[in-house]
Amino acid sequence: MTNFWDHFWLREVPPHALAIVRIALGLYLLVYAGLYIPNLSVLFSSDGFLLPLYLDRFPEFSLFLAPPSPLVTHIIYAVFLLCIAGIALGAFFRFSVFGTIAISLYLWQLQLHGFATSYNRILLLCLLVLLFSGAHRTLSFDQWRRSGSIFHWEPISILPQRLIALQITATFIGVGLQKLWLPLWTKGEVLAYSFISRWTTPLSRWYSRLPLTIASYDVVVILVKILQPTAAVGLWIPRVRLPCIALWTMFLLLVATMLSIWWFLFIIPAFILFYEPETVFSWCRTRYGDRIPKKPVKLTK
Amino acid sequence: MNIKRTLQHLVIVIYIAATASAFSYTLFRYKVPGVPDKLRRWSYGMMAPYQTYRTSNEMLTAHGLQSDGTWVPISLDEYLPFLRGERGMRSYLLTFWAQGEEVLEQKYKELAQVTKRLEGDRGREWEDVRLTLEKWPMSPAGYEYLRHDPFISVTKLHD
Repeated sequence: MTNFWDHFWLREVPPHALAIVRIALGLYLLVYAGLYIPNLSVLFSSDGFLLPLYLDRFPEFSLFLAPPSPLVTHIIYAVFLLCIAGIALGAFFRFSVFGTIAISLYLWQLQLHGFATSYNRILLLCLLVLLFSGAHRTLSFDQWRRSGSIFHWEPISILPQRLIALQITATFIGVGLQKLWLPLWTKGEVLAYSFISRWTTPLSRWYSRLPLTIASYDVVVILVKILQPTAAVGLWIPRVRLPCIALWTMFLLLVATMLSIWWFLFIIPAFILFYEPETVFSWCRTRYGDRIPKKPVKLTK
Repeated sequence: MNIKRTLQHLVIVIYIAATASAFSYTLFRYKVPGVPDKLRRWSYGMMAPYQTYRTSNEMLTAHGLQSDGTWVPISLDEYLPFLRGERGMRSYLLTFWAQGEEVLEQKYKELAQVTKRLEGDRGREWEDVRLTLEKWPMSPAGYEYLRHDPFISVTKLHD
């Protein structure tokens, strides 16, 4: 039992799966943060349309909690983007992750902050987990600095990979199972109304105008209720993993394209974390051959 | 057991406790004793998207008072550069909504003053600015298809 526990949670593994997620997450965050660039002054500066969250409660810290000037906002945002790029490149990794977390929380409390949304919470958890993960131990600028090649690698603990994969599972199962009792998820109206709501997209608008009865929406809701928890568990079963990943990918793409809720797309590359790291390592070696050494690099310093 | 291993186990135990507690709250609204509420709520927040829906459209709107006493609509597009869904969610000021009605009304009042200042910076001076929430029925024909009398209703957000 102890062996299973240690093997599952704590064994040393190649870092490639987590490194791939690190790169994908960094690129995703660059896009996410990049979308705000044209409106930085109005979103985050003293010339903006904002209500700082903590300024009333802690006026003595107004230097940090009040909105900065537009110039300072732009400088802070440039540092923020550099930190995010640092995540993707694996450059000064811990500093970059810490900077990304700190600046994103700072910007969040400044602006017309939405409620702490599910996707932002999961993103923050992923960043916190990555902070101590060693995800920069291969395919990174830091590894190049340490050993002379980005393809060199050092073993890391599997724990961060497990935490992110389990959180994705927990989110999917929770989302799926609660639909079984939520009163507003008993019939197809939830979809019918959502497709013509403020979350509508050209695709959902087109779909809502098709001559479909509400019964067809009921069927979709029933399918979602069955498939979500089932496919969430299936992510851990090797034989059905790939179809489950395909199902979830399709679901997340549909949520993005039919409800304009695109922020969950960062989960798609993270599905690689459901594969054992040794399997991902073997796949990388098959793909890139001897450029990726079979053994971890031994550092002399 | 060395310190690293102890810390790793601590992380695992805290994570499992938070997630299990969030599950029980999500599914049965039961709060597992011993798990801090903030931890449970954080974890619950990660597994609780899209629980409900609306049957009408709502939009934050602003009006400016001219010197002749008439109220004129102000476009907030420039100040809320988000997709329509995100714009709607942010307009509810949910973080302040969680602090109670009084705080929420005060914050809308402050936001009206911010709007007045920003409009003034752009050369559009108003005697006063008020914020309201417009509500109208949804329609497959389009988001704003029924946004007119007699379908529209207006709620004042502050004094």
